[in-house]
Amino acid sequence: MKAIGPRSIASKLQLFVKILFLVEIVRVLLMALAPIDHYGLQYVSFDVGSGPVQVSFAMLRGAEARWWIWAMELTARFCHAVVLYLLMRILEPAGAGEPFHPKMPNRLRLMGYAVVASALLRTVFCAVLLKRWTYTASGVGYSWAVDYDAIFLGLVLVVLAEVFCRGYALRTESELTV
Amino acid sequence: MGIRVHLDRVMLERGVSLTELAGRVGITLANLSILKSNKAKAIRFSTLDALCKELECAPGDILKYDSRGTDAE
Repeated sequence: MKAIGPRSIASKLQLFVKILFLVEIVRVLLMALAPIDHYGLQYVSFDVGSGPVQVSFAMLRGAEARWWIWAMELTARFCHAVVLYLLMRILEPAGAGEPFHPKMPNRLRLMGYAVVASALLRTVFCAVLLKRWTYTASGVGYSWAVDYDAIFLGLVLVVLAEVFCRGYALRTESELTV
Repeated sequence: MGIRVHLDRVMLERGVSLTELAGRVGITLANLSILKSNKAKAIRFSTLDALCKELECAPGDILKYDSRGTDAE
């Protein structure tokens, strides 16, 4: 099976990502409209310095913490939806057999920034939540962690955007060479 | 870019149509149209050679330098 072009892996992936994006949009809208108690969220998981932990709502002080988690989850899902949308648009020209599309570099760059922003926002949300609103068992405090993998991936996407930018310039030059 | 293609003028002087010239030179009508409308980014020596041969002219008759066009790019 071909990687790009009609009836290729790229075109099938695009369809799959489109479905994921629509599901994610529905989830974002539901979460934005529904109060957190009705959303059924009982705990929240973090990646902290010592590894992943799950903090149940019983360990949180005050109602503000729940709203903070709501904002954190909503932001994360919104960023996820943005990344899925951009991925869908990136796969569109690849599925049509034209990977060096003029808008491809911008979409890749934006996706890179969205991935980095999502990782940084989650870190900030986690840091504030753990510091202000979490009860710590036996006096052991959680230390927040940065998602370096996501930041690395985001920066790779930004570099790839530049590669596609040069690729598009080369293709245009080649096409306009008589 | 300051380089201007005056293919239309040379073609008019020789009384050659675009389709006829494309066939004689051996390049596509689309590519010749790109060249004629000054949209080309580059021209191969082989194309220039073929054009000069068919139109019986020098490269300087087809390509001119216009310093006013440099700022516009």
